[in-house]
Amino acid sequence: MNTHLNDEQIADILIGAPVAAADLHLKTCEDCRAQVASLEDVLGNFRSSAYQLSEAAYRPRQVVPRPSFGRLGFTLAGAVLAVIGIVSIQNWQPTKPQPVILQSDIALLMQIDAQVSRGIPEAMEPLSQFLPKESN
Amino acid sequence: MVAIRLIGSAATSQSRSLENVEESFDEIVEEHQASLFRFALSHLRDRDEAHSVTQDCLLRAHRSLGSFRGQSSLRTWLMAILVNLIHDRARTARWRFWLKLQPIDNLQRSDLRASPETQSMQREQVDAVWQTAAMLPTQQRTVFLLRFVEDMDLLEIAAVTGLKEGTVKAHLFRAVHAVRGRLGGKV
Repeated sequence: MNTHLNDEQIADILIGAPVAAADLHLKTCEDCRAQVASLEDVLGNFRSSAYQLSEAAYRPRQVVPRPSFGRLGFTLAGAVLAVIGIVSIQNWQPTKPQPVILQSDIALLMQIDAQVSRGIPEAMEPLSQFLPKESN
Repeated sequence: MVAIRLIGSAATSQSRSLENVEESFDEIVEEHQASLFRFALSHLRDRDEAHSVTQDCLLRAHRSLGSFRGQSSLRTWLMAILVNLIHDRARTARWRFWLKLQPIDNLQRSDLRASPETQSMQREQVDAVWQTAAMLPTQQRTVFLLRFVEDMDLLEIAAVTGLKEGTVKAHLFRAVHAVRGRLGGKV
């Protein structure tokens, strides 16, 4: 038969919600009293360490409530950005890509120019024999 | 509470009531900022985050100061705001930095009469409690810290967290059980 406090009863005592029977047992049982006291010491030291940590880390800061940016602010910011964007687009001119000129293109163009400059196109030369010869 | 009276009274002019709110707010900050920071630091284990969330709490309190009807104490009301903010932060994964614990080496101040061995053992025990608290689920850690750091009773904790008293008790029981399990033979 277990005559000592169980875990639940000890927890109830530690969290501040003891049952009357547990309280009564503590008054008569030295072992349970020592165990509860030991746990209370540990939790007390834990609380002290929390206080000491926060005292060491605490820097009082001024809390200055500021008005929130609000819808008007965001609307104005959006309008400014839109204006900047429109102006930038209007002034933007795409750079025209420079044509890549190949040597073969130059030769072809010269050939075409030479043929166009001929009195009789090369393809029609066989027909030139049928033309009347110009008398001097 | 001075703050409640000033806000509840009918001001003759808007400027006068605004002035009273600002004065009340200054008093509230002076009275509660340190304790709010202490709880935030115990929960988040990061000084900068604790400062940040404490500032957020007080700013929110300032915005809704006019709607506070005094149904709970000011401390309970402020702590409830702070707990909600901390829980919001805990939901995002990046705030799991609390796993890196700050070193605790300040017990010497309170245990100068104890032997070095006792001081070392006490330090180990407190470290074990901090480590256990860090591993608790967020709600359970909140309840545990409200009870064992802020020394709130079950009813106050229920008011801060919005939980039923029985639920608070269940959380505390599990937390204490976890602490005792971690302490093991150290107690």
